[in-house]
Amino acid sequence: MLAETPHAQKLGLALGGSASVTEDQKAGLIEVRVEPKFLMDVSKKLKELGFDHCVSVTAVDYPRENYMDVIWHVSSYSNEELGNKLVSLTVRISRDEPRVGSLVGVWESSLFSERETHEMFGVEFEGHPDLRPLLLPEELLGKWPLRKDFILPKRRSDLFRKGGAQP
Amino acid sequence: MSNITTAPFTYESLSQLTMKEGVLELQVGPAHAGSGHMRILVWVEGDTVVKVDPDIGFVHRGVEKLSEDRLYVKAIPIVERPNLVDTVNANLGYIIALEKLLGLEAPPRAQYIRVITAEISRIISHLYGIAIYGIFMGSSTVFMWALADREPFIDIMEELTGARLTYSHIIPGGVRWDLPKDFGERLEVALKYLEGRVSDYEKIWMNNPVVRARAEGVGILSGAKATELGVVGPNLRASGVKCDVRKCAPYSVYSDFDFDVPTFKEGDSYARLLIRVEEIKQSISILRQALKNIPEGKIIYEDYYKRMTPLMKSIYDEKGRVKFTSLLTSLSPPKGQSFSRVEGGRGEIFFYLISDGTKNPYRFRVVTPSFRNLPYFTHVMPGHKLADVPVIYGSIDYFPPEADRR
Amino acid sequence: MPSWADPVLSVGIIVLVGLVAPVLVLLIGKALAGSEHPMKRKRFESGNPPVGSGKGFFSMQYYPYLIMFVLAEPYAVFLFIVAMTFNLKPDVSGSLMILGVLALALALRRARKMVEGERGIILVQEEGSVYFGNLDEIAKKAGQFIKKNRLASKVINWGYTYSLWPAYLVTACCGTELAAASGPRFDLERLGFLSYGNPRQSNIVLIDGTLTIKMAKVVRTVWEQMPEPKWVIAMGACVLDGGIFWNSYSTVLARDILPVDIYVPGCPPRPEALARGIMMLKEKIKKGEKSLNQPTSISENKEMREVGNVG
Repeated sequence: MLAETPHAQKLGLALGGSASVTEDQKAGLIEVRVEPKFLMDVSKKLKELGFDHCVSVTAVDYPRENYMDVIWHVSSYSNEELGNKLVSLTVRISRDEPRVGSLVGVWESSLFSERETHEMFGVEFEGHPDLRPLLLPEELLGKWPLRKDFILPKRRSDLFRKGGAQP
Repeated sequence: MSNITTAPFTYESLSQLTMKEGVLELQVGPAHAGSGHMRILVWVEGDTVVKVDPDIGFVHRGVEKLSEDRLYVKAIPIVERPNLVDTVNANLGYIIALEKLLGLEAPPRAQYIRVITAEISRIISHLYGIAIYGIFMGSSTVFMWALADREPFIDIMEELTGARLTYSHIIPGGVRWDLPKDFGERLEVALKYLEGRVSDYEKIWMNNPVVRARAEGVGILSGAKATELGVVGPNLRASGVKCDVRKCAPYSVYSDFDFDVPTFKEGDSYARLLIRVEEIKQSISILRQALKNIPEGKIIYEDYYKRMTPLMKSIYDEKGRVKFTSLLTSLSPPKGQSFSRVEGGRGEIFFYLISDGTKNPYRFRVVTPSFRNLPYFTHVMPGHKLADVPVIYGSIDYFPPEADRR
Repeated sequence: MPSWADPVLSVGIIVLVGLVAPVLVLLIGKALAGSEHPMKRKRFESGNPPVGSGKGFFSMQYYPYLIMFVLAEPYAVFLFIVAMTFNLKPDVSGSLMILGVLALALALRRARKMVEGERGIILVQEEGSVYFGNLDEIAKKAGQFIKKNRLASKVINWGYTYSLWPAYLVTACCGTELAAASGPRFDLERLGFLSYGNPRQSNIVLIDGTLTIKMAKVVRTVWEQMPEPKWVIAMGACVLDGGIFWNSYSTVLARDILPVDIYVPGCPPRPEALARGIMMLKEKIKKGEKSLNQPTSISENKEMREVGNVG
């Protein structure tokens, strides 16, 4: 359950008031929730504290509530105490206009993950130097496969249409 | 080889580059002896590489989307297939995340068996990496030697589980097969054989003047830059950053074992070659410790054992084999999220699960080490000669189905 | 003979044979060939459609080969030996000698015809063997024997089975079992199976694993750029019916792309199973069977062209 443990409170103080920090003790995650406009400042402060690389960038789609969560997981190599923990920096954006600032300037290790999240979910990262599709073939661009309204075929007879399995 | 000026990485657009006179675009494409199933677009000026653009996605099958459509247990084979050379660590990572969601822990004997199979899988993966590196450099001797030295370990795992590479051995709550009685002796024979072979590798492969001339000083990545780019695994440790997930954030019973984490300072292709052989030696020592200290007991979680039918219990007592109860096929963990980080043969595998109380995961995220090693192409290769491209590519142990992960 | 006859004659014979023979071979090839896909004649760029202008057509490495062959040609060695023995000038003597041998053979034949008449003399005949007979009849009988038992195609097919060289194309995770099969334990090279880098000189495509949409275009391009005759072995469960990734959004079945000859099931199949699949393909080639899936002309099969449309 998400709770305000001592670790989370210390981190919350260090980051200033624009972020709400909670810790999920069962999972071992520290969740930092920010508004999109404070994203750059909070991420720079996290980098100064010692979190020096980004493990993954992903998004979670909630179609019924009409928003999406974009999550950066960050951790540390150089600092041993922090290397044990994982911080997930979460931003909530609307599903109709999915735009958020890119964090490539802060953590260069999120370069390829942001490209992948863009082509799978349709999230536009402003300021990303090279937002080209990475994994998908040309026929699937713009269809945002990992959103919840892209449905995979359930029966074998749907498969043997021309071009393979598509909804 | 030491007077390479590595050009700084720029996000220059492609059209600007090709307008420059003398710059030729080469497609080292999917049907090439030195590229695996990915396309590397290389821009060369004369003989020097100016820019590299990796074009991946040729093996993208959609593991994340498929797992969100199926039961939790059915995701085990799907997660194994992309990391085909190193399946146990991927399996272990997923199950650790799932067990955190369910809130249970496997018994100690099952944890030791998991560690044993994970270390054998790491040895298999490192030998495959050495073989592929050899064939990219043109040495088919090392290719044949390394592939032959994998076979005793594959045979041992085949006697335990019945499959060559895709075991699906670890399930939530424990493992599926218990170790047979003479497992310890057979594994000891294989380990002694491998120790003798490691000294052969040192003579033929690591102290070979041709290999040293081709690999020393090529593809240098400093420790600070490696941390910034976020690379993982033996490549990171060859650049001087001492971080192994088994020591930094221990999982399973790795804190009971006593082993070193080798690092090298240079960060060139030769260091990445040496570190894999050092890690094989460490794995051998962990396996010996595990065989000595393995405790007795059950290999499946107590609650699940109580719910087995009498027929399944009799099979368990006779053969040491766990049959899937209907409980495992209808798992619905409570709402919540969890993650796990595991050290695979190539680097750190990361899983992130969100569950909403139903039988299918709500969000399933996996990041594999080869995907995180992609910055080597864009940031390290420019500035070298064209003939250094396969040397750098082979040294980072890149496996395309894993990077396309899905 | 005038002094300019020596070089002119030798050079002239070489030029004549050297120009006429290739032109003849090309014309015969064009006459016997069927319809072609336009991709066949394009530049090979690792399975991608060619980009930009071609550079570097001057293949320097073939010139040393040319020089080596000319120097080590047996004709030249023979000439050298003859010149050493007979102390003649090496230029004209060799060609004169060969012409002389030809003329002698023709003269002997004409002489025998004049002596024996049209049907020839049969001196000794035991059961089943003819010692001295009519060369024309023997030649005719030999020709009929070859045609009836399809001896030429049998020898040619036997040659194919022992040199199946796959194009270097790895599709997905079954490729690790292919690499393990090329290792020393399950050696595939003893079956004649050598992975070769250039598809223009290979005659089999081994599809291992799942075919995604992106990879299908590459496989199709490489297939079009290979010369006939060619075969396909499809390996793994993902090519049979989809396998474990059957309802994914970016996979294609192999039989929609290429005409498949042999399927090897498994996930991944053991290397022994792959070796057995290759043996089955050899049996199939020796019998001379055509693949069930094989269209009469690949460019006529519209379904295939739509999926892997490489233009």
